[in-house]
Amino acid sequence: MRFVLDDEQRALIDAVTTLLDRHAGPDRIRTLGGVEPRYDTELSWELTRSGYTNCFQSPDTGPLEAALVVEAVARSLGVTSAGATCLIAPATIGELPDGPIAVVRAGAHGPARYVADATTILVVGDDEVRLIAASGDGERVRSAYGYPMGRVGSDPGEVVPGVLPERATAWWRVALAIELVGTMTAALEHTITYVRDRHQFGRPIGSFQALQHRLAESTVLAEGSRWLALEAAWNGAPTENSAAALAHAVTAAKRIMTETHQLTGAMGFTTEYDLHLWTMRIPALVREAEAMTPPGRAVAESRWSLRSA
Amino acid sequence: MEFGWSDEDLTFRKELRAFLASDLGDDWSGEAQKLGSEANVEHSFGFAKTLAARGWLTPHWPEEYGGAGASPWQHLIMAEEMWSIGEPRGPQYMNVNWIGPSIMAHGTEEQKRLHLPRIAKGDVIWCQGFSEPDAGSDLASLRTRAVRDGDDYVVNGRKVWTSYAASAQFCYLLVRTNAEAERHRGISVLLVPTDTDGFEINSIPSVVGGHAFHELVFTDMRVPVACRLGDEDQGWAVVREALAFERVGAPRYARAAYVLDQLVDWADANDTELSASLTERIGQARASCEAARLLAYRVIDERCLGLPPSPNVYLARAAMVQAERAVGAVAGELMGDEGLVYGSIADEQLRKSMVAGVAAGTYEMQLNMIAQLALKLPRER
Repeated sequence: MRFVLDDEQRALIDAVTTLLDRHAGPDRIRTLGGVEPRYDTELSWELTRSGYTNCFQSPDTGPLEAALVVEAVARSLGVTSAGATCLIAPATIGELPDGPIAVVRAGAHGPARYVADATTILVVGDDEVRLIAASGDGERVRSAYGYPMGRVGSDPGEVVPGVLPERATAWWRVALAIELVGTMTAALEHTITYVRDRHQFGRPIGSFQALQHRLAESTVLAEGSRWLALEAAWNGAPTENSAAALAHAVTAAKRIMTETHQLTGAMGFTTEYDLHLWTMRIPALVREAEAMTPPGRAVAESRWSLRSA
Repeated sequence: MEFGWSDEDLTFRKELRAFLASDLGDDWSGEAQKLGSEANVEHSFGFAKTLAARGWLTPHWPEEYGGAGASPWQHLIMAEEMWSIGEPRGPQYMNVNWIGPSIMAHGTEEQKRLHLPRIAKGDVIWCQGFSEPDAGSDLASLRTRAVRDGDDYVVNGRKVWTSYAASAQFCYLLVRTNAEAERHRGISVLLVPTDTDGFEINSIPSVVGGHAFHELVFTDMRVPVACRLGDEDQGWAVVREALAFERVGAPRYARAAYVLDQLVDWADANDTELSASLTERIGQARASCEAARLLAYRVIDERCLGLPPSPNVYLARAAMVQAERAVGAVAGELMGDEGLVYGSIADEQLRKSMVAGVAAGTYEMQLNMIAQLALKLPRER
């Protein structure tokens, strides 16, 4: 049990962060369209070229390192399918296909992240996982929640033999949890800096206890979510732990979305200010999380075989 | 970073569970599990001796003081396993977690000889005389006065909310020895037998447990200077150090998770149909317990690395309060009308979750510390 990065992990995360500083972040996502961004082919290629999308299967790294990479990409507002590419695909189909990967529920027709750009679409059903080899130019849906969105076409795809839907779902939950963690933590840190600097009534608004407690509680929720997600990744996405990580991350992210905007005031709504670039992604991630069996219920089902009426 | 257990720690937990299954005693149920009840204290006394005989009351203590030099992880495992069945050590957990170690760090040879073997054998109960009517969250404003008179201090004042005082033989007492000094600097710690003349103990009736709290009244109580722990006027540093670990020494998340398991068993046994919304929140409550577990583990890891106490301890403690409350909130809804029955699982949990945010430093104080030390926000003027 060790909660600090070892030297190799530190070197990996420093290198990924350096790459992301150069190829991602608020300025980059603005050039891609802000809250309606295009898929970032360049960032995707840089991450792949440097081997960072291969952490899951590499002999010196594993799912934990892969999760740390996904977290870093989310913090930096990367517009790539990092969660699916780094965690879900290697855990299910093994060999990584080239190009963007999307993950959707069987039978779902609503907008889903990265579907229009994906060349690989994983369809997670109740009894099987299917794979659609897609064109990368599917039906697009206009949506202002920070990701390129599309709808799945009529191609049913092929069943992926030997892949249990429960496993794909568990890794999907871990990937979503850590993406939420990276996203909400960046929004929270941005807000903490803001309340330190913003003066009203002759003092920083961050000196008011009424604000401090809300930020402190938000921090407790975000950090708890982070360790739950990382532990679940390290342990190979056990069903209950993966669901617990996502359940906590969803609770935390909803709270942080509300608090960061409230504490930033009207400035937080403007596109000139960066906060919305993270926060507007939260509803999309939460929707994806709750569209499966909602994560709290999934915890209850897994731990106690508890099925609600 | 990694999240595995060592083989030694896995074995330790397994042996401990087997021991608890065979040696906890059939009387660990009902009234015995109520905080501060006579049955609770009586059971804890017997059980502590059983644990001590097995070498498991103070496994994390150094061998020279009757311990086995176990790792901080084994200390945590011990605490988790105990709290996950309701903490059968009762008041003993304070002795072994921080009162004993505080005496090891600051005690004279005579104090160590007198107190440590008795704590290690489970022969003694301590209480902690900290809060006062006008010194709660603002503990450093305490006013119980100890005035030097020859080889004695003469103590006058009042303490409140003291758990276990009626059963305790000793009190770890914070007093003001210097009224002139800046308030944090004039405090000392006294190790006082509760049968000292002038030491009066009154029960404070409350809704959280019949015998949970006491008031201590000191009237011209003479305490030998030899009973002072650490240097005069330096008690604040002594107690801060002692309590730095206490915030995670009581892993309340383990008990909250245990209560949640009991609630689900109750629902099953009573064919209670749970709504989708309640099931979702039951799962979320479980997740809160798990989050608190990991935030506590991070603090233990810092201890293992020999790092000084960090603000992470306040995050862990706040997360435990959140977990206790989340379980308390679903408990009442799950049991419905039956939750109103005295002693029901929901009834007990409601009371425990009421205490969780107050005992061992209020939730708001934890949040203040997080804001100031972790988030670097300026202090409110």
